[in-house]
Amino acid sequence: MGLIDRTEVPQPLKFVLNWGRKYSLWVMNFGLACCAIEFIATSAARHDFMRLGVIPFAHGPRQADLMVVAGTLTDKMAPALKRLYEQMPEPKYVISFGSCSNCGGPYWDSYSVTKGVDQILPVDVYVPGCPPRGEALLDGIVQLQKRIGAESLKARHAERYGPRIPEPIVVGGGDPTRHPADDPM
Amino acid sequence: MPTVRSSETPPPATRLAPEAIGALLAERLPEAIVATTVAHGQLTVDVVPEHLPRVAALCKREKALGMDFFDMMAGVDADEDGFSVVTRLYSTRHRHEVLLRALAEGGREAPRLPTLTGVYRGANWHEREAYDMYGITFEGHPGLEPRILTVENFEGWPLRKDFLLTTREIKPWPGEKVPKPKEEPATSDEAAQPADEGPSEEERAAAKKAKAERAKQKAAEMRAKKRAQREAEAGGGATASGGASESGKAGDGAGDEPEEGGSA
Amino acid sequence: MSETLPQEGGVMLPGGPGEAMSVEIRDRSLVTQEMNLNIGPQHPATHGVLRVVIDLDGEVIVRARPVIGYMHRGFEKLAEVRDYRQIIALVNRHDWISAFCNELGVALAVERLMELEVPTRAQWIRVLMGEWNRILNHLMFIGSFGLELGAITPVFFSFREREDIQAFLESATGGRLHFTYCRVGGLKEDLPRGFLDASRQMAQTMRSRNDEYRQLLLGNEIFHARTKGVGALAPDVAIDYGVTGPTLHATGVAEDTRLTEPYCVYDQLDVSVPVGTNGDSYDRFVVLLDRIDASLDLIEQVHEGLPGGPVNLKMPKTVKAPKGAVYVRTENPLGQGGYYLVSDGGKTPWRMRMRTPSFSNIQMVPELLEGSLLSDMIAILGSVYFVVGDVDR
Repeated sequence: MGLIDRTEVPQPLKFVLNWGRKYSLWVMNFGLACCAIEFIATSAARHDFMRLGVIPFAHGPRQADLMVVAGTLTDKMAPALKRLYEQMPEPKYVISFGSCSNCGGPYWDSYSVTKGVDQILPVDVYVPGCPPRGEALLDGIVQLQKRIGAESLKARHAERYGPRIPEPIVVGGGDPTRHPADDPM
Repeated sequence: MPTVRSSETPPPATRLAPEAIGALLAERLPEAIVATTVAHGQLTVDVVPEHLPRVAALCKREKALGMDFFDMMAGVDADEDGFSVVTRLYSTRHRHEVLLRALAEGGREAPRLPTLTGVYRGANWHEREAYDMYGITFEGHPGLEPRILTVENFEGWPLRKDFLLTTREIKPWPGEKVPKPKEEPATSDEAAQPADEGPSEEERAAAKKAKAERAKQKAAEMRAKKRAQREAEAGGGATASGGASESGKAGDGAGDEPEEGGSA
Repeated sequence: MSETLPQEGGVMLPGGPGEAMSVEIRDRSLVTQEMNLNIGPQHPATHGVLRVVIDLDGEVIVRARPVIGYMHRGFEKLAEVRDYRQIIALVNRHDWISAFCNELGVALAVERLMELEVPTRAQWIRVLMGEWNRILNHLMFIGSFGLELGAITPVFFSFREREDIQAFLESATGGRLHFTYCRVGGLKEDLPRGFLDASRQMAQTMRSRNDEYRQLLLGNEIFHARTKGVGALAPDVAIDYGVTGPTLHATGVAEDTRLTEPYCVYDQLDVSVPVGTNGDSYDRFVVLLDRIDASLDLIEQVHEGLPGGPVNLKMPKTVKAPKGAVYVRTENPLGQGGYYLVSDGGKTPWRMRMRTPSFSNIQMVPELLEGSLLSDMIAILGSVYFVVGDVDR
């Protein structure tokens, strides 16, 4: 992107750019498990996230702005996820859809499951549930769009490659930094 | 498309009783059969490991048995004896089945069994899985490596009882520590009501209230009981004995009602 | 290099609606260098995280090797550290579109080991739920198979029905995808008021909708051209590999647990199993459509015959299965599910082996892929019905 990443764009132009970006989120469905079915259900006629400008026809990671990781990530699959994520062009966003991709979910004690995709890539929105309903994904998308609308690409760039990671959104509230393993016994 | 109805396909007359299959196998291959047991209407035949392919071949090729369908293979941890492998064969023609159980030679260190891939093509992946999960080597198998399910550089054999789940070692089941009120399982007369003509609204509300009341009482009882138990346990200083009894330990974590004396 | 070309019979190419044309490669001077191609684990052609490594000679697949394990979540180990109630919640999730049928198998296995007699009403409701779940599953594949062949409409059609069915199943179970409605000794609770009416209504709607799918897909010439004669499976090969379910039925073998070893109350119902003749992709798909009608027949029989009474046995708070081993099989939507349960008398099983239909089906796939065209791969993989979680567990 170059210039936009490095300079602060003046407000009217920024608004137009962000408005354009937030309503044409080409999404890459990284469908892994059960949640992928709910993701498809959300893209189908009943919930229809295309009305929010989320377009599920990205031909691959190189054409996508948003990656929805839906389902259990296993240690065997993790390198492929990382690789596809790195192929996505900036600015890119990640929605972690479902308990498995949030923290391992019902497979929290498994020997082969990665306990959360946030261990290998930065997550913007967490959608909890096992699997979450379509409405929860819609809420996550709307909140992400709000964030994109108010975003400065320069600041985002600095955040991404700087020391501070942007605070993630959690659908339905809750503390994203809290991990069940940190709970007092 | 044509359809097959259940009324047109009665059980075939050639279907053999489990005992008959056991007797037939023992008669034809006396040196290969250790024991036959029938439990829950199912025949389990203990086979001398080196003869496993011969027994399987007999099951497949013998006309009266005709077990053409390779169903599944399951490794089982047999504790100090090592590992056993249970193979289920089924006949689509006669609709009878057999479970062949063979204890792998070589104990826990180097368990090995002859392969069944020469008899059933379907055995290939099942044996690879048994290798992946238990480390049982199948002699004559076309290729057990790379590991079929786990990641390539995985260390250890996950389904062995001495393979510990580290997450559980670090933290026991978090559900255990929340003493949640438990409801009575539905009594038979409550559940007896057919769905379509349920009780009226008032009745429901009254029942709900009574139920909540009962649950509350029960919860209080449970809490008191649990506290007493925990205190007693803490006094005794009971800890699980040895890491090998993973299932026993986990059982504690899994249930919401700790058993007397823990898993020791 | 010429040795790697199919020697006899040549390659099957679709010649038009309803007929397959055989093309023989005669000109040996046109031999190409073999190419190794990796497809997956994340690829639209493999619906799910299945990986297939293939060797190609031109357009012809010479060797195919499925690589599985990308969705291996260690169910069998986790089952050993969870008690029987928790297993029912976990077993839902390996074959994520036939949740109820999975949990039923576990419940049946434990009940058989404990020698429990489950109330009749519960057994009838289990059949009802199982058959609705079967329809849900098949709808998914009807939609996705169309999508994979390039028709985007069927998936929207099938998800319209899925939403409707899920809506009233949710009223009874509380779940859209993972029902967790079965319990050892019965069910979670009785059906709510109005459930049967909704079920009756939906059964009626579903019949007409199934005709819609038929017209939409089977009335399409391209669909015929892409599926007829593609990936034909021989019955003896299928049985040798342990293939079950619609994939096996399409070859003409009516091996269905509901027929041959009825569980619940299937022995009191008139079960019909549609079978195919050629075992090709087309037959597999038509069998799937017909199975929806067959399931609706069963559902209507349950509506007629559903008895009253309790749906639960009085069970102790912690279920402990007695020492022993038992193998229970059920007819899951994708084929035969097997549950081999070994108990040492404790709260958790000593060993819980799950035989899943997709595992055996995928093992057979190289037989179909080798010798067929690369472009037919999707028609073959899409019609050998599998769920990756069911392969890897």
